[in-house]
Amino acid sequence: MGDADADRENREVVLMNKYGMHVRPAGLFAKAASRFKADIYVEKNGVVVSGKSIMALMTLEAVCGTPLILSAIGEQGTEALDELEGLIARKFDIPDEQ
Amino acid sequence: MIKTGGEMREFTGLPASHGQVVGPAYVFRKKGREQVLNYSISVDQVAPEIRRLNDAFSLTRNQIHSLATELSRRVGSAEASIFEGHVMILEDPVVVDKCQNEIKTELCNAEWAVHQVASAYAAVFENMEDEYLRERANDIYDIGSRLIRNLQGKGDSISVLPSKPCVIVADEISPSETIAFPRHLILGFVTNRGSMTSHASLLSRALGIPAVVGIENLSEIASNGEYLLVDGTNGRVVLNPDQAAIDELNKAVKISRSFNESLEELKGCPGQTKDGYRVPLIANIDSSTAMTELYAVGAEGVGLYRTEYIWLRLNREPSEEEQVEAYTRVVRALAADQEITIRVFDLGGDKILSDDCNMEANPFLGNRSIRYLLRNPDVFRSQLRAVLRASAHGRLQILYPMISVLEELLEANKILAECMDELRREGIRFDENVKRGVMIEVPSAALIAESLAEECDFFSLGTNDLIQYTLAVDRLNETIARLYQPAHPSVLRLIDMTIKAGHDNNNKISVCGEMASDPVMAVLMFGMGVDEFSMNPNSIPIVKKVFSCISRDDALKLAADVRNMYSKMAGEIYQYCKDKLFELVPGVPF
Repeated sequence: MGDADADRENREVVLMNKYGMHVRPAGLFAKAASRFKADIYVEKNGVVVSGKSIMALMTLEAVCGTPLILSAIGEQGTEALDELEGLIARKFDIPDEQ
Repeated sequence: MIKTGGEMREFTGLPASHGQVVGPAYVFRKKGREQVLNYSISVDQVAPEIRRLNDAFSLTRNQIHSLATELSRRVGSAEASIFEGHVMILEDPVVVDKCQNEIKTELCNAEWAVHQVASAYAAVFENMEDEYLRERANDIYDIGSRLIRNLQGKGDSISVLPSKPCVIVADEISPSETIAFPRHLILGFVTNRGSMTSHASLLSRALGIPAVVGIENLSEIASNGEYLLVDGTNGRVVLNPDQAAIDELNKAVKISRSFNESLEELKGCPGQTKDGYRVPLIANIDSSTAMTELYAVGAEGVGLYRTEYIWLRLNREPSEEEQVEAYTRVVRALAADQEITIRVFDLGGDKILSDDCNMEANPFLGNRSIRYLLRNPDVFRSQLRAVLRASAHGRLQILYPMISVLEELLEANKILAECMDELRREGIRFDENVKRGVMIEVPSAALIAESLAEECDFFSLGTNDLIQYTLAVDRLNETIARLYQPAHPSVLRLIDMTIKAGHDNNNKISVCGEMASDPVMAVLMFGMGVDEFSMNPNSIPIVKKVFSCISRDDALKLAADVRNMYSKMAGEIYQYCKDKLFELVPGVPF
C-alpha cells in the first residue's frame, strides 16, 4: 500500500469523543468499516492498522484529540470514508462521551 | 452477630459506586492469576487443536452475547454494549489468526496460545499512558480467561458462590464476574485494584451496588467472615467496624433513603422556594432526547435545545423541512404553558464539521457558532425560517450562541427580520412576537451586556464556555482541571454584571451551563438574581428538592455574603456556599 495506489483516498480527522478509541468506539468503527468492500486503514503518527479490526484500533492508543489519517483502497472507498468520518464527528453517537 | 476480636481498621480508596453497607467479607480471589495449562503438541495435532480453539471462540461468543442480552434487560443497553464489544473482539479476524498462528508456530495447546496472545495484548494496554485505555487490559484478561475456562470445559459460572449476602473482596474483579454473582448475595464490592473507569466500576454503578476500588492489599488483609463497612459514596472501607461506626452508617443510609423518597414526592410540583417564590427548572435537550424523559423528572419546559446534533447525526446540513419537522415535534410535545428555547447551530469548537477541511489552530477561538452562521447566511436563513415556522405551534424562543460583539447580534436580528418578511410574503404563519435571546458565554458579552440587552429579550448564561474563556482553561484537559473553577470571583462578577444589565432592561436571565445542575451554585445564582435554570433532565429532581428547602431570603443572604468574598479564592467561596447549604438542607448527598 505505497503512495502509488491510484485508487487510494485519505482523510484527516481528529478523534473527539471523551475516552478515545476504547472498546465501544473501536467496535462501532470496525463494524461500520466492515460493511464496505474497500480495505480501510487507520494511521496514527506513522503507525498503520486495519480499520476493520477492533483490537488493532484499540492498540493504536488514540485518545481524545488524537489526529488520525483514514484511508480506503478499492471499491466503495469514498462512501466508507464519508461514513467513518461522520461516525468520528458524531463521537460515535455515544451519549456519555459528547 | 458481628464477629468480634478483630481490630478496627480504616482504609481509603476510590468511590467507584454510591451507597453504604455493612456485611461479612467474602474473599473471592487473592492476588495473582490462575495457572494456565501448557503442553506441546505434534504437527498432526495442529488441525484438531485449531478446531478446539474455534469451538471455544464460538461458545464464548454465545455466552457473552446472552450475558449482554441479560444485562440490557436488567440495567440498560449502554452497559450491555461493553459485552457487545467483547463479542466483537472474539469475532476480530486479527485476534483469531493470532491464536491459530500461535498453535501452528509454537506447537502448543490452545489454552496456552490464548494465554500468550491475551497477555501480549494486555501488556500493550498496560503500558499505555491514558488511564481509561490502560484499564482495557482487564477486559482482555476477562475474555482470555473465559476462553480458557471454556477450553477446559469448566463452563461459565463462578465455581464457589457465597451462601449468604456478603461483601465481595478481591484483588480485581472482571466485568463478567461483576454480573455473574447473583444480585441478592452481593452487598458490595471492594478491590485492591481498579479505577473509576474500569468496566467493573461502571457495572457496579449501573447495578446500584456500593463499591470501593483501589485499596492496596485488602484481599490479603481481610479474611472470610470478618465484617466490612463499605462507604461507596466517600470511598471509605472499615474492617471490623465497632458499633459506633455502624450506627453512624445506618443514620447516613436512613437520611439518604428518605431524601430520595422526598424527590419522588416533588416530581409533579413546580420548582419553588419554601416560601413560594417560583424557580422554573427546565431541561437541556438535543434531538435524541426522549420527551418521556422530561415528563419523568417533572421538567417545566426546555431551556436549551441543541440543534447542531441534528446536523451531526445526519452528517450534513438538515433541510428546512427536516428542521421544521424536528422543532415542531418538540414544541408539540410540551404542555401549552411550557416554553422551548431553540439555540441555532452551535457548530465548530469541539463539534467539527466533517466537510470543513480548514483545520484551525485554535478552533475554540475560531470560526464557530454564530460566526460560522453569519459567514454562511444560507444555512442561517434556512434554520431561522424553520424555527419561525415551528413557532406557530407553541411557545418558542430563539437563542443566538457565542455572541462576542454587538455587530453580530445586530446582524443576526437583521437576518431574522428578513426571514419574517419572507414568510409574511409567502403567507406562512409564525409567532410575530417570538423572543430573541443571547447566550452569554464569552467575557466580552458579559462586559457589554448593557448594549446587548437593548437588542434582545433574554439572556442565557452558558457557564461552561464562560468559565473556559474567562479562566483560559480547556475544560477537557485533565492536567489543568483544577483551574476550571465555577466559583471563581471573575466568573461570579461577570454573572453579576449580566444579571444587572439584563434586569435593568427587563430581560429574563436563565442559566444553561452545568453550574445550573450543581445545587450549591444554583442556590447562589438564584440569590444573585437568575430567573430560571436549565439543566440535564436527570439533575432536575435534586435541584428542585434543594430549592424547596430554602427561602428566597436564604439565597439572597448567601449571594450578599459571597459578594463580600470576591477577594478570596474560588475554593473558599465554594466551600462557604456548600457549608451554608448543608445547614439549610440537611442530608443532601452532594
